[in-house]
Amino acid sequence: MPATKDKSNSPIGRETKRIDGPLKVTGNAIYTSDHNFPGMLYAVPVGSTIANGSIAKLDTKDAEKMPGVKGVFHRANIGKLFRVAPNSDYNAFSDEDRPPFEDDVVRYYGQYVAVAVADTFEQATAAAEAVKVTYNEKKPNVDTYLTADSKVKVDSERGDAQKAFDAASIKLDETYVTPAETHNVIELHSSVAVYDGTTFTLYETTQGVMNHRNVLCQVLGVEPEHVKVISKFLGSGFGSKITPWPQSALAAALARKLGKPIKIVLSRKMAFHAAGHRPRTQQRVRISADAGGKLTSIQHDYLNHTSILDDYKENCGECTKYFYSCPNVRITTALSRRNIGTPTSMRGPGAVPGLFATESALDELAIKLKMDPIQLRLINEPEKDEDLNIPFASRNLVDCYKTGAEKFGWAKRDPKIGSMKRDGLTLGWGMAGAGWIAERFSAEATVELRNDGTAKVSTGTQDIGTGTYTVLAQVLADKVGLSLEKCEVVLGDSSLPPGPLSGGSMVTASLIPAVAKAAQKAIGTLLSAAVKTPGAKYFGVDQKEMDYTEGMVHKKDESASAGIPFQQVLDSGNFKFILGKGSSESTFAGKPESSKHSYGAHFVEVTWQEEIARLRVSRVVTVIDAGKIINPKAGRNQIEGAVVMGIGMALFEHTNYEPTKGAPLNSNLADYILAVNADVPDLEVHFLEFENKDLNEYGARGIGEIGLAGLAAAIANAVHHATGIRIRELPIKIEDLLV
Amino acid sequence: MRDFVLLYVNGVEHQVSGDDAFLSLSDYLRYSLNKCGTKVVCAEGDCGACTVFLGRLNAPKSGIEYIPVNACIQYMYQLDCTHIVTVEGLKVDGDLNRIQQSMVDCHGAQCGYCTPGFIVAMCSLFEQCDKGEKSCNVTRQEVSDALTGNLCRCTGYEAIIKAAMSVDEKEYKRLDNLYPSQTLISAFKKHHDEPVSVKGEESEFFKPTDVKSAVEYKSNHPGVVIVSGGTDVCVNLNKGRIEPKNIMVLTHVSGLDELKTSGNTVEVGARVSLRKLEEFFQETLPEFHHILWVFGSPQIRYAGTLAGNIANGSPIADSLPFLFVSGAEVEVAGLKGDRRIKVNQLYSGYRKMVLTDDEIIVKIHIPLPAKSTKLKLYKVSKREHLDISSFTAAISLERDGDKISNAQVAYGGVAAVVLKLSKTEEFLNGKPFSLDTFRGAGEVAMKEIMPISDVRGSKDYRLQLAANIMEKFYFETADEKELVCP
Repeated sequence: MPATKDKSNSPIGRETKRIDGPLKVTGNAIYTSDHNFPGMLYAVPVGSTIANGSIAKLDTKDAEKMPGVKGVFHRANIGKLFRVAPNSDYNAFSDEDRPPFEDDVVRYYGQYVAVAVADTFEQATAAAEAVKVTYNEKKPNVDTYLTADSKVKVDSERGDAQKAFDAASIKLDETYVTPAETHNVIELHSSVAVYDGTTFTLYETTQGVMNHRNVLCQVLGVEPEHVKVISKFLGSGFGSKITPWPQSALAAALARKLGKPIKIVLSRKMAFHAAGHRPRTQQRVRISADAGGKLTSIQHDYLNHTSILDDYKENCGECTKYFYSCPNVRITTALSRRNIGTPTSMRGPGAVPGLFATESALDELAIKLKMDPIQLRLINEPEKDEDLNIPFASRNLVDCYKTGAEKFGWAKRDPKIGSMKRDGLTLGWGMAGAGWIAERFSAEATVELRNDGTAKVSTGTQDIGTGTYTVLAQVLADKVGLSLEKCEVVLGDSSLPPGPLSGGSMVTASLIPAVAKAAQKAIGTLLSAAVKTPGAKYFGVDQKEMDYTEGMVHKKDESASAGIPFQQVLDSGNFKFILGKGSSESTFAGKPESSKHSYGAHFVEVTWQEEIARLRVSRVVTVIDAGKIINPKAGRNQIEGAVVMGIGMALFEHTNYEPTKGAPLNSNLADYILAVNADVPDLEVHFLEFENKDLNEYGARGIGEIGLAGLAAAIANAVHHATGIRIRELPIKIEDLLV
Repeated sequence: MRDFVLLYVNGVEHQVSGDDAFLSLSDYLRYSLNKCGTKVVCAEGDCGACTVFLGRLNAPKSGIEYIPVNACIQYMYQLDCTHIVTVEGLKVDGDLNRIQQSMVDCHGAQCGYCTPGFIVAMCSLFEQCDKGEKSCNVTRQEVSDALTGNLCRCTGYEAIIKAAMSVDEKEYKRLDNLYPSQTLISAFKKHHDEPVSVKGEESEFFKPTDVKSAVEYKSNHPGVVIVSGGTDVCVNLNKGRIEPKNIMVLTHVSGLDELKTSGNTVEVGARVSLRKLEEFFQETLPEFHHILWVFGSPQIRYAGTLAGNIANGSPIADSLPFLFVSGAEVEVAGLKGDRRIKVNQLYSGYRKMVLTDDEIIVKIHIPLPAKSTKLKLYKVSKREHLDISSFTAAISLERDGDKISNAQVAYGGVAAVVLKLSKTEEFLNGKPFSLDTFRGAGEVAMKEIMPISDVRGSKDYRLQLAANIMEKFYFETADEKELVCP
């Protein structure tokens, strides 16, 4: 590897424009539903119009006679589809395990009961609407009040929390609720399936091409080598594209059945039914403290709804375990089944709803103690991970609080409710902490050095929009010492070396070691070729004396410029390219030596006009402790986007299931409200880049999810400061603030 | 009678007939032309991802006027004699245009899926420069307004706004330079006034060019769906709520695009866009201008019409409370001639008008309020912009010294139709202009309405708004000295 290198030249940490930007701004980036093939047919699923019951009769006669219709398919004629075997790691997992049409039971509104296929999208849509389904309907259960359906499980326990709580004089016992939220990714879920008689090529909206292939080969009952999954560009996912949804199996099964390419694009409405959502959570938090504010107990008992068949757990206690120093902690979890589609991960699963509860509770406790909420947090800052009893790899949460307080001007805060005014508006100032895991998935990558003087990195991961193409180009550029323009990145294809899922904010951290090793291997092979090629400049030199610096092959005892460009080595040996493979392990196996997380703090100002009940988020300062930021341009984008999504979470977002039919009522973008640009406040994002290399050599941790964690609590805390009203159920509605 | 739709896409002529004429523009682009840069995300005009430029002959027929529209709710039959420019058609000599470059530089594209729509909406802001419509120093507020109709889930908008702010208007190359307008103008002039009718497998559409044939067609085809801007009809088409056999398109009916003041009355032709109206009222009646501005996204305001908002007849139609209190009238044309109907007597039930089968709305007459009239219009919604109202109101009255007279009150979102609150008006008339009076009026108003609970607000919330909005009116219209505590 480079013996001497001017680090200021390193592309790592440099503000870098997205390398796929030009494709995206011209409409030339090809997403799943943009794939068209000769003879392609369109399929449109028929969703059930009940949420509980069974299919009594499926009448497809009229639909089949309609113009352009190639058939209507259902349980009796689609062909056998299988389930995915239970899998403990993340190589082949699905959230909705039941393959489409497995039985005639309907368990949620919009569950696919048939699928119409036609020459055009319009014809298929009309045919799907013409399918007549008779149901045996039962009353659905979409109740919002959650009770445990089975035994409560203990997530984590230390000390005797109940005893300490009973003995304490300062305590709090409150229940916090977060609603069902739908991801509403901008790109709708879609599948385009091509079958050549042996092999399936599936163009998918997926955050995991490898996982998608490993699931679909089982569902279709074919060997993994006969399924290839492609996802070159993804219109974001936020978790809703981590595991395959039923439309993918339908497209593949129809392509096999009809011998024609099949395209399915969900409607916005369908995406509310069978493409995952963040489940409703109901979290009872009991905390106690001594008079000085030291926590004596935390009990966090949470429930989340799940579907009738699948056990999706929203891990709300994720941060509670390690966030604060406390000798007595007990965290329990239970599921509550509903006639609703299967939930899935949504940006910051577990931690995001969990921190709404615990960071709101801390604020309430601070008020009881008449203490500044930052002070309360400082008093309870742990020295180690008390859950795992291991040191923290890098925890700079206190610096986040301090930096944030300074940038925000927190010292000027008057804690009295409604006491702060500006331009006739009442101000509310609130804050909250944030945490998110920092781990690695196993990953493999190859690096090629090519005879045209360029390099290429390939791995079976995907860029969900966060900037993976660009970040990997930066890593490759750093490792092979070439300019960014000479570095190509190939992703989004399951036939590449297995790369990580885009989930848990782990892609960058996971790939750095694998790409570094692959580059090292490629350079090693290059140097070997340099000394073994007869007639070449360094033929016969001992390989140990050779070196590689920024694209130049040279002897260690000479300067790089005295050497030869690496492509000359390839030319003289008549090699098109030299390839190195690298892999790295997941951090989930075995007992960790350190507790690895990213941290952050949000400071929020809201304005409140009591006369007309107008609440606005006017200012947010966010400080993030996530180690080295490889591309600050993309990094800021991630945090700003998360903060704006958090404003939506706090004030607008809520999937509303109608109780008599069980259908999501607001299943469109007019009624499911996302923040628009007019809702965006003054945003300030700061990164604290403390060095820690436990996870990889650059010390980079993930930043995709941390920005959303804790924000809703900071807003609710600010709302309390302005209005005196404590909101414990999201979203915060104007109705809640009218007194 | 011509039997195809004539349009240009990125400078190339297309003649569209048969079933293709009944596609949405976004489906036509994506499926028939394989131009997939235009993305479909909501298919109902809520998100702006499918924004494209629609170019039409301007009023003096001397140039092409480009407006941003949502391609998912423009159907091909609305697009006769238009030039559509998509994100693929914006490059300048094969290079990124200034705005595309700025979006790359500022990281305005993240996942990239909303990006094509943002690019077109942003270009449209610069396209308006020099036309007397916009000042050319683009302000943050103008950028924000221009992008109101575009949803992004990744970036938090900040980078996108920055991208627009860092473009110098002089560096933006206008569409007239990319697509010289002479060919387009002469083609459109030639074919503009030809009636068009296309039959598809299951439907047919007719594009008349004069009111008489429109009225005749309507009377001969009961159940015909009339489309102008299509911002509502096309949403219902996409959702499968309507499957019309006959469609009549008013885009080229002559005489319907006039907007003028006649005496003390503003006459608004049925084809005048909400956007044109918004500009018109900016000076004349800022209160109504504001309601038109928050009506919806630029894409909706450029395409939609006031006549459409009236004909659609939603109880939360943003324009109706004002039209109710101002005494506005619609002029309708029918087989038996024209007649005028007061807007507040136009509705017989939920989205039902008292028009006969042959009648179409041709004009709206809006009397301007007197200088002395105190008028306030309200739209209550969850989000800052781009939101469907949960409650709307218009309150207007005169003050004779201390006494209230000629009170006019209309509320929307509180019943199946917009309501004129006659008991509340009666209560107010003759009473002193005081907080107590308006509190009392609020009580009366609450009893006069029958709101329901839905996703946009609960019944109780709407009842409370009905009362509180009266107080708000008082505080906003009282003289400063009246507000000083004794």
